[in-house]
Amino acid sequence: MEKTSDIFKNYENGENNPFKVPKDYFEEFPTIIQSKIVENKKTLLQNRLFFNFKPQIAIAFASIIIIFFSFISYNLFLENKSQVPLISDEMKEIIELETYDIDEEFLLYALFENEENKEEIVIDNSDLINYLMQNEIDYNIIYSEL
Amino acid sequence: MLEYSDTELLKLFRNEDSKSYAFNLLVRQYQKILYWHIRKIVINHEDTNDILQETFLKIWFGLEKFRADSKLYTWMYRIATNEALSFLKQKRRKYLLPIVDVEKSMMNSLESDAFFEGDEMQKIFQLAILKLPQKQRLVFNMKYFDEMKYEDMSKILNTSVGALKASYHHAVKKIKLFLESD
Repeated sequence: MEKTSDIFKNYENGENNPFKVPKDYFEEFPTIIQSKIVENKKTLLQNRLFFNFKPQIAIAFASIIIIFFSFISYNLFLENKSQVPLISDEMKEIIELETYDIDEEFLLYALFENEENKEEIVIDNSDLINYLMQNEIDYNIIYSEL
Repeated sequence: MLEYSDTELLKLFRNEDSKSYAFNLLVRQYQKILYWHIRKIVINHEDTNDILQETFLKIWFGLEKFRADSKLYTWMYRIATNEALSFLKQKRRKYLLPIVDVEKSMMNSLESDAFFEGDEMQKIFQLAILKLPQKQRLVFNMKYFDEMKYEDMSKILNTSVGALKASYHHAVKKIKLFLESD
């Protein structure tokens, strides 16, 4: 059987390798790879620190963002807030007197105390009789019902 | 250069004081074999240099855990093969090239490669090898150029000895046909 090396011998040009390398490549390669290893070790250490503390870093970062946005929101809320008086001067006076147990009559008195020029409605008897006669209502029926 | 056995190198490597020295010895002992193996896969010197550096970096970081259930040489050869094949896969993905075009681009680079000094016959021979399917090309290179035993090849490529022999036989036939037709 024909040897493979014999089949291809015309294409190989003996021991001559057609592929070449740059000058001193193999002499320098060990030094290059040693420096690459040192470089890689540093990168690996940095990555290890980062990945070991990744959850803590993420939590810290998230906390800072939440605090920051909370601070901004709170400040915006305070700016928009308007001063609205909750109570009138009269109520304020009552509370200051510590009258928690407020009597209804007193409240009514307080409500109408400051009413000025209040028009008093006076109903005359003759007006009543005139109204009843105009509307043809029998006065005696109403009197008997009362 | 004095050559150390696998056991001696591993012993030196696992000692913190002699770790760098042991690795330096390892690099000097195996750099050429691994370089030429990778070069035959990717053709281009610059790519070969990058892949070889990655290979030795993986060897450095993996050697501590190496269990010696295979030969050190077989283990390193497997790393180099996988790195070279990964490189070709990445190249295909990067440029969206199908596998055929990757081989075509390598043929073109062979034409213009400053580090290829073969004559026309050698160029045709290399082109014939590049036309083989990827795995078949690997088998051919490892058997024909590296004169590797089928048993060692089987451990590196994770393929049975029988399949490897058949693959090599077919590879030789295809190359012969190509050369005769040219």
